Amino acid sequence: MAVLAGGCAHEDLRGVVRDDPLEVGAIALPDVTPAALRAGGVLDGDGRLMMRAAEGRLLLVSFGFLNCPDVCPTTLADLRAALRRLDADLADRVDVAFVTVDPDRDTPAALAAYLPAFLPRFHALRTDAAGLRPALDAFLATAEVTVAADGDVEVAHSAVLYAVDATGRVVVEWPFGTSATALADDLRILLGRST
Amino acid sequence: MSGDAHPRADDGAATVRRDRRAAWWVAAVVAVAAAAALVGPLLAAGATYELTFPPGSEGARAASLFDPVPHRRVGDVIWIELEPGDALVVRNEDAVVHQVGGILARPGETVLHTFDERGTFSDVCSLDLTVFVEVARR
Repeated sequence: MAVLAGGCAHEDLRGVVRDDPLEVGAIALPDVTPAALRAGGVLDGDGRLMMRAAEGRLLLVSFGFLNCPDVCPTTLADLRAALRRLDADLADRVDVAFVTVDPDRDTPAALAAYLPAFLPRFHALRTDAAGLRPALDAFLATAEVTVAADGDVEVAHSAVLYAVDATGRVVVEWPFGTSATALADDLRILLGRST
Repeated sequence: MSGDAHPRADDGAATVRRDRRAAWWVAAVVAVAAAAALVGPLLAAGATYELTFPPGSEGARAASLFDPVPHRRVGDVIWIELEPGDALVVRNEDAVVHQVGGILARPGETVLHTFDERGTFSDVCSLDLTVFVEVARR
């Protein structure tokens, strides 16, 4: 049985750290970001973004949807604040991928209009439910979209923010509620490792 | 010329007493520092609480699972109440992934996470309950 530990046992990282990390490097998702807004990243042969960071960088991955009233914008706002706490040379080594779990409503145009409110460069990743499933499974994430009889759409999804290294391993998982200060502290440690 | 310039017969003994006294002080300070170094982290480490998902927990509204953890329940909302430095162990003996307060545990996996920071941590809970981990000084 794998025993996992967070906090002090792992260089004072504040997020959850597994001794047996999630392996997501084989996952690739279509990137619908306009070229002018697209962050750096590792692409597969079909031009999809692979869930692994470029060498010397970190890839942060969040699952969400644009109509989310609270969790998703709060996560993005905290992430924005964390990146602004870093020195510019460190912040420049962080790439952020936002994976929509509500692709029917989150069109490429809608994603491109929304995400710049939080991030100057990003990856807006969008695929259908079948394409999303392997990514959800690899990250242990959950997402469910239901449409009520009156047409109301309800979306439930997990809200963990993930940091992926160049080997495709999830090196830290931050529960929703982790402060921008804690995120920034962890990013400094992680970026220090990957220089 | 001051009197200090004239050695006295008992100066040697006084020096030895002063040296011994200084040595005792140094030893005492070292002992206190060592004790603090050993005990301090234990005192600051906080408590560890374990939450176990037994086989067949999937979909259950088994609020009794939370009994080993300080919590309060309001309707279908569970507030796990921790203090900074407390650790939560999520032990998953079930066949599906379970998650509490943003901690995900695969089948057969045990996750220990220390909540160093005050705040409210949440996520979708796999038990059809809404679970928050609230970390605050009590």
